[in-house]
Amino acid sequence: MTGDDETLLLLSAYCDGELSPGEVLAMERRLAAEPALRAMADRLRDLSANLRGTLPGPAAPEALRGRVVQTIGFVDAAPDRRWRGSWQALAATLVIGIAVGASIGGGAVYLDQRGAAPTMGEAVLASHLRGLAAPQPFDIASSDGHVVKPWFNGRTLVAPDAPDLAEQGFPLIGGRIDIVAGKPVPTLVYRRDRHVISVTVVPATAGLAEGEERRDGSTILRWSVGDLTYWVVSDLNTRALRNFVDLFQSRITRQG
Amino acid sequence: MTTLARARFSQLILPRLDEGYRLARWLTGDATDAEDVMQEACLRAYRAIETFAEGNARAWFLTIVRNTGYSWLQRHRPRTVVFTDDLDPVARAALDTGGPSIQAPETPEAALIAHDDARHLTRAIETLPVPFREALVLREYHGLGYREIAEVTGVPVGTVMSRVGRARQRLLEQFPRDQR
Repeated sequence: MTGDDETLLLLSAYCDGELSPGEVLAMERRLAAEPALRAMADRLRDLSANLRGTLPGPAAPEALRGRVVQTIGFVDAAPDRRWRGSWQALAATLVIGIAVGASIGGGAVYLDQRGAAPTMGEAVLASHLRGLAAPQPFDIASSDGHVVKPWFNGRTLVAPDAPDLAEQGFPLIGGRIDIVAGKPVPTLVYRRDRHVISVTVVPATAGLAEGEERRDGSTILRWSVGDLTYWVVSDLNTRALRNFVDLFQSRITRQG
Repeated sequence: MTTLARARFSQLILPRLDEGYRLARWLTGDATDAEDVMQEACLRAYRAIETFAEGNARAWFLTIVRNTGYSWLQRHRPRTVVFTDDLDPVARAALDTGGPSIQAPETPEAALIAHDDARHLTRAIETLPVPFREALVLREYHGLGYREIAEVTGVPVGTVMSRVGRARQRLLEQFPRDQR
């Protein structure tokens, strides 16, 4: 019988990937030896799968957003020099969305009519956040790189490879078009648990080296391959995001 | 200054309203109550947003939602919520290690919907004690790691592991072995 309390707790933590390496080894040895324990692990995994279907429940009512915005008095926000550009655009997009009560589709439009050209990093971050605020963070939903890549053809400057990293825990969930520096560029959207990862691909700009920065809870990483620069934005923890970048880099071949 | 605060609010909080709402709903067990909690949590977050520097905005906001939800429960339904900090050590240990099991009431209604897996599961989750339920929701819905859950709920990581495990154990007990 494998039902003793401590075993179940350890097994539950094992399924969450929360055991120490030593404990994992011990657990895997036991799993190999005890069929009843394997059956229990299967039941835990099934339970998790069922929970993921059940727990989301209904979404927040649209009116809630409106009321919150009203409470904060954000609607009459005056322009602010420091954040002109990205926040203005983001705010404008959200306010319009709320005022009209329309559900904005996934078509990410970066409003840059204020004249103050945001840096590329700001534009990429704003698009990512805009994606999170929309009903879904992508224009085309697909976990198949062979669907996503050709979808970009003719719509954006480049059509990047879209490796599926589902086996490594980063499933591809779709793609969207962002506007960066006035040009439509492709963004691949990945997921890690509840975290969304945006990979925006732009033509490389001279003098833009590899970099990493944190801004208001999001991590932004960038690197260049050939004549393309990849920007990765997520609120995933930095270590996991670097791990994602390593996997992604190892899977993309050259770009034209 | 307020403009900056509003800009940060629209960037950090508005995209996470939905996620916060779902946590509030599981905490209060009611859609309308969850909206009240969210209104208050958003106001709290807005007032505190200047003090939030860098870091995990998501965990930060979920912590506010969670704490607002707890004080809401304490105000409106003092008997449904057990504040583990207020318990004596023995009772607290009992809660963290399972203790006397709180089974779902076997009402005729419960029997009727027993075959409806999703509703059955929902009911089973709703009957979990609040500390177990929140740990489970933060893990399975919000996808937080044990360490992040420990931060949000203000308990040690070991307690989180135990609560998530206990919550699952209780749910499994309510599903016959031959079912999925």
